[in-house]
Amino acid sequence: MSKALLATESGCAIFEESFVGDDTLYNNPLANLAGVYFHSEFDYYGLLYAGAITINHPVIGGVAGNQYSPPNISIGPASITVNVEGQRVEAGYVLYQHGLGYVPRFFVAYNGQMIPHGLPVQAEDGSRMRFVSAYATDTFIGLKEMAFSSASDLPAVQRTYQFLVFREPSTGLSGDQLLIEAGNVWFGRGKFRSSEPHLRLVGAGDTPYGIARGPTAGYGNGGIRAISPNGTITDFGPFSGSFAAPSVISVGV
Amino acid sequence: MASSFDAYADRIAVIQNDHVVFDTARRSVCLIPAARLYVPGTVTFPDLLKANAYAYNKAGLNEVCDSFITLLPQEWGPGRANHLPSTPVGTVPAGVDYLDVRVRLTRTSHPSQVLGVTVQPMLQQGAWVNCPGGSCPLEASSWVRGFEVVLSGTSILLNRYQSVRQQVSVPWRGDNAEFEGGGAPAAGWTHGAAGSQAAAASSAPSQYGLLVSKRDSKPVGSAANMNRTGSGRCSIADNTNYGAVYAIELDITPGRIS
Repeated sequence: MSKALLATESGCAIFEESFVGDDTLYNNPLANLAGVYFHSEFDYYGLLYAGAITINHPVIGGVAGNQYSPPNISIGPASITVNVEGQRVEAGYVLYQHGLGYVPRFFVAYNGQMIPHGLPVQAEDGSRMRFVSAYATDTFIGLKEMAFSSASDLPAVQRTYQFLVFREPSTGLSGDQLLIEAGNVWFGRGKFRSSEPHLRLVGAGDTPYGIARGPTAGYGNGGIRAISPNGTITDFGPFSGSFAAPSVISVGV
Repeated sequence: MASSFDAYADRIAVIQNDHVVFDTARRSVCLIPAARLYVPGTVTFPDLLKANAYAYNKAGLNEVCDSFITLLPQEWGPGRANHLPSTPVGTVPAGVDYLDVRVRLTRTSHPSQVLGVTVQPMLQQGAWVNCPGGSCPLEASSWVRGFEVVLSGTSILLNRYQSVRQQVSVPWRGDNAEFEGGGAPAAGWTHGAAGSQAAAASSAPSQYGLLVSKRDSKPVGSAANMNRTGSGRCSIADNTNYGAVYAIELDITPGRIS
C-alpha cells in the first residue's frame, strides 16, 4: 500500500492505493473511509481563527436555607430547612467576535480539553460548581455560565479558554482541484488550504486538545458525573451508579 | 520559514512556514456532508414521581398544618427502572467513528418551581451549542436531567435521562401514623403517596421525598381538625408538573477521526 494523490477535473483525493493506478478509493471514498486522507467530497475543519481569552468569573454568594417550623405551637415537629440553599446564577460572555455572517464550526477548550457539557470548570465541593457551555451565532462565539453556590460562597475564579473557529468548508471554493505553488497548496478547489491547518490527530509541534468520542455526563441518584477528556471524574450532587469513561482522542491543528 | 509539498510513497504532507498543516501520518478529522442530518423535534421529559409530606401540630385547641409536594427517588433512562426508550435519529455510513453534534434548543414547557425558585436550563437557548461527546445536561436542582446523542453501530440515538436522589428531608414520625394510640391526631410529619390524603402505611419509599413545593398552609385559628384527614385539613392535591419539553434542532455531521 502506498499513498496516492489524484486530481481530476471533478475531484481531488489523497488515499491508499494497492497498486499504481488503483483509484478505487478515489471513486468510492464513502465505502473506504479508513483509507482516505483527503477527498473533495468530504469536509474538514480548516482553521480560521485560534486564540485565547481569560475570563474573571465572579463570586456567587452563599445563601443559607431558611428554617421552617409551624408557628405559635410549643410542641411538635422539629424545624427543618425547606428553602433551597445557595444560588444558581447565569452569566454570558463573548469569547470571540468572528463576524463571518454564518454560524461556524468551533471548539472551546479549557485546560487542553474540548469542553464537553457537564464538565465543571470550577468544583469546590459536590454542590458548589461552575459550568460553562459554548455556543455560536453568525457573529460571535459565546460562553454561557451556570454557577451554583450553597450555604457557602462559590469563590471568584479566573479561567483561560482557548477557541478554535473553522471555515464553513463550502465557502469560497474556486480554482482548480489541485493547486501547488510557492507558499500555497490547495486541494479540492480550496477545501484544504495550506493557510488553514486541518484539525487532525495530534503530532509533534501541535498543541494537543482532548476530544471525547462519546457521552461525558452520566446521571444517577440526583447527581451528574462528568468525566473530562483527560479522565478526571467530577460528581455534581450525590451521584451514584455506573458511568463509563468515553473514548478520547487527542487532536491538534 | 520553509513551506513545501512533500510526496513520498508512504507519506504526503504539506508544510507551511515550518508547521505541518496536512499530513497523512496525522489523519485529518473528516466530515461527510452527504450524510449530514438536520433533525428538528422535541425532547420530552415526563413529570417526576411524587408523594406528599404533611406537618401537623397541636397545643390544646390550637392546631396548624402545612403540606408539601415531594419528589421520590427515581431513575429514568433507557433500560432504567423508569424506562425512557432511545429515539432513533438517523443512520451513518459504515466506518464512521465520529459525530459533529450541534444543537439549538428552547424549553417550551417548564418544570414547576422548586420552593419558589425557577430551574433554568444549563445550556444556552436559541443558539447553536457545540456538543463534543454528545452529552447535553439540561437541568440540575432537586433533580438532574439531560440527553445525549450517541453513535451505536451505524445508528444515531438520542437518549434521555432524569434522576432524583434518595434522601430523607424531614424528620418523620417513627410510625408515620396520623393518630396516636388513643385515637387523637398525632403531632409531627407524616408522608403519603401521591394524591393520597391518608398517611402511607409503611415508612418506605415515600419517606425519602424531597420537599419541592409548599402546597397548603393553615395558621392557628383558621380551622379545626387540621390533621391529614380532618375536616379542616391542608390540601395535598398535586398542582405541580416537574416534566419539561424542549424544542430542539440537531445538526449532526458524521465523520471519521481515527
